[in-house]
Amino acid sequence: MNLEELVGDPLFQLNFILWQAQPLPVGMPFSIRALLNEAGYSVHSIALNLSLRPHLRADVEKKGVAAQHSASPDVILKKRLAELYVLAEAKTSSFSTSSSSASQARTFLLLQGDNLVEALGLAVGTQATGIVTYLMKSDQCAQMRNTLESLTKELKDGGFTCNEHCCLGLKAEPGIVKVVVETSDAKLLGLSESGEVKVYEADPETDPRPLYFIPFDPDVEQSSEEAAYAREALEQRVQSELIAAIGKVTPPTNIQLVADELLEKATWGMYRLWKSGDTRRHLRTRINEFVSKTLTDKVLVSDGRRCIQIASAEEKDEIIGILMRTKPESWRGAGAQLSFDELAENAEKPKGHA
Amino acid sequence: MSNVEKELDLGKIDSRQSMIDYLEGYALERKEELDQKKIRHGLLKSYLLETLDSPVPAEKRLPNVFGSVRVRTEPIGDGLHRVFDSDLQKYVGFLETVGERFAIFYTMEKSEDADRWVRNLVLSSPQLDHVWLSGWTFNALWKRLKEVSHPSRFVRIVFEHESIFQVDSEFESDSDEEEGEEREDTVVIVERRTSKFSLVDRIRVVADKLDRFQELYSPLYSITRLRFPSPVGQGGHEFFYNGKVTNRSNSFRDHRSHLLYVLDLYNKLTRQAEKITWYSVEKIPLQKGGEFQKLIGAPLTVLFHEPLDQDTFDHFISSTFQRVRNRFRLWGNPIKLGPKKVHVYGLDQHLWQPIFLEITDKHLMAIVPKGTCGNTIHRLVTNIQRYLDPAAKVVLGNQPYENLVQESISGR
Repeated sequence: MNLEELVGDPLFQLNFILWQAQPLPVGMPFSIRALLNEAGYSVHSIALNLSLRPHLRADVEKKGVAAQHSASPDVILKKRLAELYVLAEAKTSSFSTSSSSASQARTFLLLQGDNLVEALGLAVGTQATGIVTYLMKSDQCAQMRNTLESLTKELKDGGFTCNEHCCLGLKAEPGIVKVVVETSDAKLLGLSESGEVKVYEADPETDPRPLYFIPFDPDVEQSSEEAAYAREALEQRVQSELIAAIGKVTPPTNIQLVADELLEKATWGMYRLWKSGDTRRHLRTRINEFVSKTLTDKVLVSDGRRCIQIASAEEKDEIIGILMRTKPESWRGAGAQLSFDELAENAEKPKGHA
Repeated sequence: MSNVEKELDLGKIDSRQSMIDYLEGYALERKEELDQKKIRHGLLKSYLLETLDSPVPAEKRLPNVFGSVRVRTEPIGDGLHRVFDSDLQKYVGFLETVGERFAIFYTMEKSEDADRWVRNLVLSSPQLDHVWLSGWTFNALWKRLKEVSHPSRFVRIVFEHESIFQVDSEFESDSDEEEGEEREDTVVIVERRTSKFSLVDRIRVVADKLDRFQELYSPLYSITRLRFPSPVGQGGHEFFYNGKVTNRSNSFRDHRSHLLYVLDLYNKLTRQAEKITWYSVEKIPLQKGGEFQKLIGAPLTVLFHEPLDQDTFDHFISSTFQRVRNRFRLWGNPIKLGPKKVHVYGLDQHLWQPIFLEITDKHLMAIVPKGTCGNTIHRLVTNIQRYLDPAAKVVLGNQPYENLVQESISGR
């Protein structure tokens, strides 16, 4: 477990923000603290594409500002009983003012006032406030603040109005994860504490990652260790959805297997938003291969469609048994691609993972 | 009355009124036998069953559910059915549907036969589950019982906690859930914490002391049976943790009234739990067109009273996830994240619904995706209190489960 890599991992950061906005037990001893939820925030949306208003786009073009016409913050948080929206973006590290990330940041900064209201689809006349927040390794925050200051100054000098901005740092020590937040940023966000705030505590040898709401994202770069966890989480969720689909039916029946649907369910709909068409195709193929190889004589292919034939309750139990015994442990650390083939080869091997 | 006579009687019952009259008379006879300590026939047992929530009422769905396991339901009107077991070739009881998702199975069969029959029925159908009354639910029911019963009446409370994960010996038992006889000559004595005893005393005496006892000895939080005194005479209605209810009163109508009361609060609790915990990324349409992804829900957190030791943690994980038949009816491949931490992106094996779990020595946290039946939550809590930690605190989002139970009972 490499804690430095973990806190810099985009998928960990995305899930970390989501957990920070979840309602969790308060007033009792608990190893996880949801700092943002305590401050009244909940998740408004994930990967929502926000576009600049036409006249603002025109202004941006006219003045030659390097901003995107639309951008999707990883998560938007909304404060309870207020029209306050935090556009939260996770980054591995800070970036320069000439990078593509800076173009995205300019768009986030420009999405203020009526621009934000329209982009979020709120009622005309709503007084909404936006705060651009970056989450990254704490040692990158100072540089990130400088970048955001520079971008803000540049935009204001060009006659634009900008959102406020801040940076939340992530710091991990064995068994501990801290959010590092400047006093002024804590005030801006309405957090009750600033400095190094402990939000997770466990035994030193324990991996601090939370359950992943979003298990996988082919559009982000990850280390092999981080990618291995993400793949295993996704594979298990696909496998669970497959077994669930079979478990619910009453034989005799045929179940049509649609890999897209399994992936849609397993990713809670995020599959549709993946930019990488190759990954989607690859995963569909792997799922189909996995099912065909694992359940060889039970799968009927007709017109490119796969059906699992279940003649009786006994056969249903047999199929579920095979799928349950199939163990995806070889997927971890198996390289960049998902390998449902390996999963199939492990069919009927005894368990022993945990 | 022989079995044949009983079967004939059941077959002739063709209306709600005749069923009520029959069971009312049956209850009276059994109560007289109980008083004379000469029980000739089984007491009336009612089994509270939960069906998956569906827009189609239970009344219309249950015949198919029962039919798939060779049990015929014959409507006699008004949500009532005679139940005929095609394998046994006899009537085994009555089924009454309650609302959209609950049903009650009434039977006079022997307890061990009826328990096995219902267990097999539930095991055979992913659309059926027991009603799971956790220790926290019983604690709240006990508080209500104190309020509505005369303090000089007797109450019976059974506490059961068995730390089965302190040793690696978990297995699926088929033992009768009622008073089983200890087979001392054949039972292997395993050293682990086991608490099972019943308390019978006047309500005012128990009310005065139980809270303090529970603070002193945590297994007393794990109530698995509670007898409501009947307001219409002696005896009462004994509720079991798995939704079984024995009628030890002389009135069927009073018995049924208690069943409906508990089902009503259970329904409220289940719906509230689902409302809070159901996770989903929902597509919300925007006024100007398009849509966005909104994450809705809250985690279920179980905070253990004391951290699990390494052996208990290991046995809990291996017993649950390396055995297809396990008490929690969960399936998954744990991802190990430390000596005492795992993640499981798994399944509720009974209802075939996904459930994601983080389990450490200090807590169990569950993400329950939308559509997962609230019964999964109640089953989890009930079994954790019974087999892992009787005093575990359960929190849905940031709301204590105890408070939700209390609110459901108070009708808020």
